[in-house]
Amino acid sequence: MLINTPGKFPKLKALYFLTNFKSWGDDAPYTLQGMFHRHGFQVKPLGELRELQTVFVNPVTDEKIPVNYFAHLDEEKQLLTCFTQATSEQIQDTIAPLSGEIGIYHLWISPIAFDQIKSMILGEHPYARIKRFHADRHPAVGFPAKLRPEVNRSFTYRGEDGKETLEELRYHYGVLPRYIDFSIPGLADFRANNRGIFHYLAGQLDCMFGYAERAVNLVIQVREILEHSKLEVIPLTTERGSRRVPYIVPWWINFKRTMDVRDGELLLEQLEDRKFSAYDTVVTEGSVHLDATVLDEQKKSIFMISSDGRHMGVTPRYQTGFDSFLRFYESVAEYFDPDATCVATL
Amino acid sequence: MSNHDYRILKDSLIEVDRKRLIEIYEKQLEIAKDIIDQNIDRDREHLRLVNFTAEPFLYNGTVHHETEYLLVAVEPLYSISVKNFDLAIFNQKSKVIILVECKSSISDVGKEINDLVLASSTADDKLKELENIVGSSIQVKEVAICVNAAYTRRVREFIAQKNLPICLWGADRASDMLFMEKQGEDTKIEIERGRIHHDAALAGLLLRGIKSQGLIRSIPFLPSSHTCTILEEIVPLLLLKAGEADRFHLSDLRNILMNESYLTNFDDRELWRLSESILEKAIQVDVLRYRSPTGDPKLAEFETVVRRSQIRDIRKKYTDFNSKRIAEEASLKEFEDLKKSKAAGNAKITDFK
Repeated sequence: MLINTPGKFPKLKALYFLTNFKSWGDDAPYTLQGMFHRHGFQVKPLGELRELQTVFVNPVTDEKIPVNYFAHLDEEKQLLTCFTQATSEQIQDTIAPLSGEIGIYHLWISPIAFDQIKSMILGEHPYARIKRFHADRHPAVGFPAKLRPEVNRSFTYRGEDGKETLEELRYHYGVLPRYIDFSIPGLADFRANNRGIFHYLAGQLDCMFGYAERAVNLVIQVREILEHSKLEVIPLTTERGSRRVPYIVPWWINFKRTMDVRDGELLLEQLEDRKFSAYDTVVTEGSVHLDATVLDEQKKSIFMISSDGRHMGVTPRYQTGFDSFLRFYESVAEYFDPDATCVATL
Repeated sequence: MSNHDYRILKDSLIEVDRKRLIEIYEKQLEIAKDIIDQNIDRDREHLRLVNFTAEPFLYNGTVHHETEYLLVAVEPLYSISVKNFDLAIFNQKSKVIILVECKSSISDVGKEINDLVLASSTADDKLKELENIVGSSIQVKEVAICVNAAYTRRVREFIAQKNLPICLWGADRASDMLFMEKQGEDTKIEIERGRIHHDAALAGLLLRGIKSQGLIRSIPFLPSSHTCTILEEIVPLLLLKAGEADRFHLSDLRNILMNESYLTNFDDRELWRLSESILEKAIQVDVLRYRSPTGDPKLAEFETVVRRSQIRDIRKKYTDFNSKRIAEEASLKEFEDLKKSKAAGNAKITDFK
């Protein structure tokens, strides 16, 4: 319905969330529906969709503005897609906070995956242009910058040469794109945001959804690695019955940069800003080694990290889910190494 | 002497002496903090070596996969108060158990190895207990000491000199390799002497060296780890388990320990004992406190003093409490010694200036 009538949805945005849920459930607090209720949404069934209604209060005028989302849960992929015409501010205030709940997280597209999407679009459509983008640099990000790397900076750029400018700004100022407006002549214009929001601007909706799906698939590959990690106690048959032994499958972060002692200490400090408490820490010099146990205050999980400066092993400890790990990977990429990759084995 | 004595003395002194006592106390406080920090760091370094050594022997790890030698227990002799042997590795088919002691640093090689020999002898006496832990009869017991690569030469020399049946493993962090030192030329004789493992496949792997990233922390703490390490690892789990209610019983602590994957060889009695010990120390350093004091700690209700956002304060609380206690005792003694020295006419001019 939405796809066939694009003219009716000039500001349509599609927001993607990875979830643990395979159904909407009832009103119980830990169901998907219950979660929306807790965040002040009314959930109305609409066949395969749910209409999510809430109110945004304008912080300046106190005006109450109704905000609606039409949501679809892909039970197999455990992917929630929410369609809306809400503004970025309204999204930020209403639905974005759900990423802080256990079992759900926005479709964070790593800088590497975001680059892949950009390359796909530009590669498949030689006449495609980047007409606008927003890129920024975190104060402490380790990503190289030729000019004054210590400066916190952001750029919003408009221009026909966005593609080249983005590369130049990345090289000279060490910034990473947050969103990019793509214009594919004769096909579609849309904005891709690294937090899993695709914003339709003009042309064929199918085209935007096609690339959104490819972004989803890239993130799902990461999710599969994170979900494969485990800490279990398994029974082993013995001569006299059975005994239990731990079965541990970690996941790994491979760094492109090398982490030195100062970087490691800084990373642990910065993780606090994202509500990760790192404790029981050991940071040794020489051949660099960093050990810490990390409590995710938002997702209420605990995991252990250990790094030799080139790799980081992440071992589950208590109630870890993909959402907590994805949040952690996002933080490491944003605070230390945007080119860090998530892998199942070293 | 108690901390109470220190305060009584401080209040009773004239200004000049009180000032001097406080100076001594502040100096002692710094010393005590440094010592505690060093002890904690040493404990973490030991744990790091334990995890490095354990990694290839974990379920589905390299060695387990190729030889069926599997890590089955940590501190297997803990129940009989023998802290030696950090790991028990067992082969279900050949019924061989390897008891491994990890030493991240060695100051007195003779003492360390002699302790190990004693522990090995205790293990022989307690074979039944070990069989209960592994759930099988044990045909052969082997002993290994694993040290950081820098110490292998000293340890090898001592073992050879005393002709001891101990395999020597080295952990080379630079190349991420765990290896066995060949202590003599004749392999057959070395096997007979207990310095190379009987199992040819295992011995071959270890002699060539096994990759261990040492980046899987399968053992966050050992039951005999430093109290601060244990508190830092356990209190956050309690905080999450207790949730918003923030009230729990000793049994909750025991349940946490029972669910720790690497403590599966600990029976109920040992877990209760460990829980009580952790609780007592946590209350002492004001990380946990009673909600409802009762005579029986198993019935009492507790709450956390630190919040989730203050987890990093656990180490500070531990260090502050203990350094203060140690410094008060030490400064009291130093002050008394000075007084005696002065009374005996031996005081230097700087002692009481």
